Amino acid sequence: MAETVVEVQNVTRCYGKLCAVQDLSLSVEKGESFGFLGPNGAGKTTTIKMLTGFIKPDRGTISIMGHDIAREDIEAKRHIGLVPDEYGLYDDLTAADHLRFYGRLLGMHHSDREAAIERSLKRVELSEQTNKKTKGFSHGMRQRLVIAQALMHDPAILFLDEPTTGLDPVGAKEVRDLIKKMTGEGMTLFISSHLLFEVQEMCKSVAIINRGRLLKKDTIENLSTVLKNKTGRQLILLLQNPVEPVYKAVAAVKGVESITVEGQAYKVRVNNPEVQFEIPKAAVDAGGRIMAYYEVNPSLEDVFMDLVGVGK
Amino acid sequence: MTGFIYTVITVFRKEMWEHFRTKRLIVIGAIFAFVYVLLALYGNILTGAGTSGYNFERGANAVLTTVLAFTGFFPGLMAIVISYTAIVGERSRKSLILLTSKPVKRPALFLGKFLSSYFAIVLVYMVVMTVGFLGCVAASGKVPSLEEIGRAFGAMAFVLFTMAAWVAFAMFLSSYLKNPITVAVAAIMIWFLVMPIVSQIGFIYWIMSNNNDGAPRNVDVGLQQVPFGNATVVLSGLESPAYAVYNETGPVPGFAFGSYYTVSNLPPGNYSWTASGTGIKRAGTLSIDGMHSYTVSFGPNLNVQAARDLNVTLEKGGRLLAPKTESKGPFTNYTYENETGEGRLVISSNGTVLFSGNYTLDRQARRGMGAFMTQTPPDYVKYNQLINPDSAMTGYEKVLDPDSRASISPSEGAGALAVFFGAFMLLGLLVFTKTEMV
Repeated sequence: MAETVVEVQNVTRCYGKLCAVQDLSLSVEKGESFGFLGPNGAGKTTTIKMLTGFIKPDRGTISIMGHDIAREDIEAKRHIGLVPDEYGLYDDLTAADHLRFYGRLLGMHHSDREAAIERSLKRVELSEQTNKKTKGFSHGMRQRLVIAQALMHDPAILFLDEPTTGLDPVGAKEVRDLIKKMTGEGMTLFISSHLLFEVQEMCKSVAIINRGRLLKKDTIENLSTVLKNKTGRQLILLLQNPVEPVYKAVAAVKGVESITVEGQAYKVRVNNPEVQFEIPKAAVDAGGRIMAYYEVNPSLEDVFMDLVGVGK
Repeated sequence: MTGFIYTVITVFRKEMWEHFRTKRLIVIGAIFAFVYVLLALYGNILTGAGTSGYNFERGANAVLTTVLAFTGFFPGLMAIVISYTAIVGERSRKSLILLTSKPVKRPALFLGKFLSSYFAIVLVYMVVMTVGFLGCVAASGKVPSLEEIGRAFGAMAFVLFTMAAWVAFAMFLSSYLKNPITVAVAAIMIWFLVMPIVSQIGFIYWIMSNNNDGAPRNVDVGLQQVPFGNATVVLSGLESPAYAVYNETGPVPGFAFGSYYTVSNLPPGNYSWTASGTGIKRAGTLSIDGMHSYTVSFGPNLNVQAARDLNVTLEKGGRLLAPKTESKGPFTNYTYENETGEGRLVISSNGTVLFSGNYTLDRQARRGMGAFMTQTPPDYVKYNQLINPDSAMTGYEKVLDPDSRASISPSEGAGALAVFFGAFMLLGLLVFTKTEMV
């Protein structure tokens, strides 16, 4: 049985009458890359702040590697690496100065610390910037340095809160690649994000939260399958000539529930697996010229929208 | 080394490093140095106009006394400027979240930040003060005794204590408020209101006060006549006073300032005066005739300042001691150094004795912090009597006023400062430790 790194039990946190998190329970196993999803105001940031010991829950318990974060915060924090969504660096310190400072706060001894500085900067590909002041760092470089400080002590779990927010496409891709690399290395990650495609790319399992309550927690694959079973299969018919007669012919096939036209593509939802062979035939018979025909599984976005709902 | 102390040292080192990489410390030091030089020179000019001689002639401690007296407000302001961003700066820069995500105790972070702000400002203060002191020594040409050096640096050490209190105060606001500008405005506004109190209990009053042990103090009720043109009469000596001078026809208008009342341009004639203050009422008469005058002040040294045509002699045990004389404007200063015990003072003009009488040089033990800076114990220089020898004056008295306590005792002052410091350290620690800062 996998070791539990994070255990959250019946946690509630309210600000006055407004409860940001209500009766939340979840766990993260060792080696899991865990996505924490929710719309704005769902309670993600409050949850992360509770998990990392910045605020205390009104009710319930949170333990990190078996240490209650409320009562044994020092011990619990030894196992945590944090990349917050908003952070600041000390402009007049170099990259190495930053890591040296944080390494000391982590209680690392000189030789371990210096080795960790070298290793962490190499890991985030900032070795060449070791002795440069962070004043001149780009947003992406700053983000990577913050990831480096979180990795210095090889934490049991790394919390990443909106890790690519505010980065340009190049910087965002660099950070995503870095996170994927860490996933491949078996690190336990807890990623909070509202960018669903990113989470789908970086995580194996997710929890979806809305209005402070946990809606679902499972692997992305399982969630997708459940949705597929619930809503039916979705087939994509890409046509050279998406004309009216073709549309009518496909719509007339028995078992076709709905068709959504997006440019040259028909998104066809069906309730019967056998019908997939009828659709191209009907299209060709009606004069359609098919460029591609394939099935798509529900994306994380589909799952998310199904659970949370548009505009809710 | 425990984790707590290691954290304090780590934060201290990093903060000191940052202090010295920013320009704030240099700017503060430069402004303070400029103010120091200005006050040393200004104070010298100011005191040179009086009877006590120029500061630089009296030595480095005299200069330092003036500088400290006029810069009572500065150390607090310096302490606030260096420390107000300690916590709120981290918060607004959003670096606090990384700092507090580490497995460290928050009081250790607070203490490290306090110590770094404090030592940074102490360093600047002491560099300016020490260089200034050495400059004053060089300018005065008088090598201070070990005791004088001890007094000078003792007074500075006391200032450092007030700075610690102000750093603690700024750290509290820095923890409590969320915006650096709000912290700066609030800190300076409160400093402006509280500063006179804290400065006085801190050091100024102790250094400058006549009587610093908190006991009932001597109150002098007397007259000074300033000998230029028609006479100027100065009544002084009481706290919260009401003075008046009368001629035959009624009150003569004068100018009140603090514990002084000045009536200028009085022609020769007969006058009366009244003085009332805390629990004391005195009255007397005054006759002004001619412009000959002298001043006598009693300290460890007997100092006589007289108009030029006066002869001043000092007899002790039948032996006449030669005074050190110096001309200063219309006056001649006679200084009888290191005279103690009883003697007889004779002041004459053109062979006519205008005044003769016994004097006593009183040597009391120096007490408390007030003795730090003054070269002569404060009690001796409290009264600088200016008497017209051709005038008759009655009513001068020296009384012990049981209701008038001089200033605040050293223990009370230190206690008040300790409370000020301790309260804000505790509040700051509580806020920083218990509040959800991010």
